[in-house]
Amino acid sequence: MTTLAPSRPSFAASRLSFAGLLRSEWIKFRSLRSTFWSLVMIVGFAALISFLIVSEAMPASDVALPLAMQQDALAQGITQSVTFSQLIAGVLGVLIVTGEYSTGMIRSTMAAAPRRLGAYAAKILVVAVSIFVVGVIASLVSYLAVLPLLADRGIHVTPLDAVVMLGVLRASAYLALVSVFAVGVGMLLRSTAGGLATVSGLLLVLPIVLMMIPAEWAVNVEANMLTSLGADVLGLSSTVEAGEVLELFAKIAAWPAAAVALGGVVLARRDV
Amino acid sequence: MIESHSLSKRYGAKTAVDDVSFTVQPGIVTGFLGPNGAGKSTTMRMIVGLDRPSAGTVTVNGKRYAEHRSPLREVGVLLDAKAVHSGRSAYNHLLAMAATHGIPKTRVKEVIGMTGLDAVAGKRVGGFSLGMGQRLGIAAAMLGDPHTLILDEPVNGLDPEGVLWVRSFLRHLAAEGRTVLLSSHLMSEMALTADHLIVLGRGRVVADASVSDVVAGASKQTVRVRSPHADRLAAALSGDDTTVRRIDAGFLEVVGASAGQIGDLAAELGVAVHELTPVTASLEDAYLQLTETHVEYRTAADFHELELSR
Repeated sequence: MTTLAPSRPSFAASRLSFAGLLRSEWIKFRSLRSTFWSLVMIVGFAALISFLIVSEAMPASDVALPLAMQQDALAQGITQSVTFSQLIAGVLGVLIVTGEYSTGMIRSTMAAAPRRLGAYAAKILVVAVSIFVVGVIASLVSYLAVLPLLADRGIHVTPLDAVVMLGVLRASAYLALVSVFAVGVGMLLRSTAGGLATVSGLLLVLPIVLMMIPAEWAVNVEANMLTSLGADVLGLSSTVEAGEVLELFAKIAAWPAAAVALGGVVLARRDV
Repeated sequence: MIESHSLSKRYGAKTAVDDVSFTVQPGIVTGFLGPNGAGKSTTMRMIVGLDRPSAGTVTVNGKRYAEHRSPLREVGVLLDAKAVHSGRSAYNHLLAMAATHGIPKTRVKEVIGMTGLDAVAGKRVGGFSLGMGQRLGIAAAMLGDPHTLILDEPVNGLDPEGVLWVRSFLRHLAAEGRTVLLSSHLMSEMALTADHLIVLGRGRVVADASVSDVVAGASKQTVRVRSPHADRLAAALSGDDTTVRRIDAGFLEVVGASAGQIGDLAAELGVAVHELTPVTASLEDAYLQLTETHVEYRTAADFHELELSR
């Protein structure tokens, strides 16, 4: 309590940088228990769901399946859990932002990065990369969970097979884009309740409502909802062409792009 | 040095800060004084760019805060002890703040030691007492060893030892040539810590002078008057140099007129006076006089507000 500030600090050259903001956001990301448990849930959920899908839905086979069928079966088996874990990724994305608003942390964040958008970009990148990596890890853990079942079902490929790995990467990229969408919504609304309601409403409720409307426009809109596009990603077969994948991801990316842009406008204009 | 030029902040129809201009000099402790809602915190938030001014500008060392390449090295700010995520440990909070500017871990440990947080640095901030939160806020403000410190109510919630520490700490920093601006709604605290005072009332600067000048200038003699016809007396007394505060029915406090003048006036009006007591103003009185001039003696509603604001 009696020591006072040293008059000649050893860090005179230190200054604000985007690399610093990335490091800061990463420290913030990894130092919250809620984040850690969300990620554990994504992985645990993936293993459980993959096990159920492979053990219950895939027919036993004494002979090896054709290679393309093996690749499709394995890729879909170990990535199907994204249907559920996208909700966890969405909740996490919202909380990463609204948790700062509800606790007041955002004032510390923006006082350290007064241009604001740099910190926002760093936050988005950290969330996107982390969720992507966790998505890949979840698929690999799922593979280990279903490994004892695979030989009995005529599946002998591993995730190291390039086609299977591509499927894993596509599913993980989709998961990451959902979390980025949620970060944008969180920044736009600044409220945990509002953010969670909006994200879960758009991911879960609205597609179901649209399916119940017997009109062509409703069918078209439903097909372009995030979850529907996500289902398309998970259902892609090994024979898909790159152009088709790109087109699908362009549609998906429109959601996070719009949310992030709106959130950015609000962040830049409104008082913190 | 902090320079504010005609700074204003409006929220819809409400004006929180109204055409405020001042300069905060390096080398001394400047106190930002005013009742709750006077616009102190809003002004401080505008200095560090969290709130956008509706009009006017404010610069720190000649530049807007956001234009500095190294904001935390320039300004350390304690805006609100709760500007921390409650689920994160104090150490990780400081580490994350430091990382933005590439400030090393050794400095994080240094500010933890400096603020006496060693024992609780690994604990989650959610469980911190108000005083611990303040120490963490001060630690965060000191991370960049900044030239300028802006502290909103830094002694709020601190124990007596902590208050003493903050006081000597801020004086030490100012003596090193730094610019130190702290806010408080407590005149007594300011009198012990600050050299210079900027007093805000209802979003306007009502005084900008050294502590001794503010006290001397505001220590006009107050006279307590009891009279069954206090209203008539008050109406006759109030004028440009004289302010009348109605304490109670039949009980006034008059500033700006001597007991003799009041007695003469009462005689002229034929009003009975039951008590006429000169009172020497205290620091608190000086401060109340400064910040309440705008509301004094207008309408009954204003009086209620005045009483509540005490």
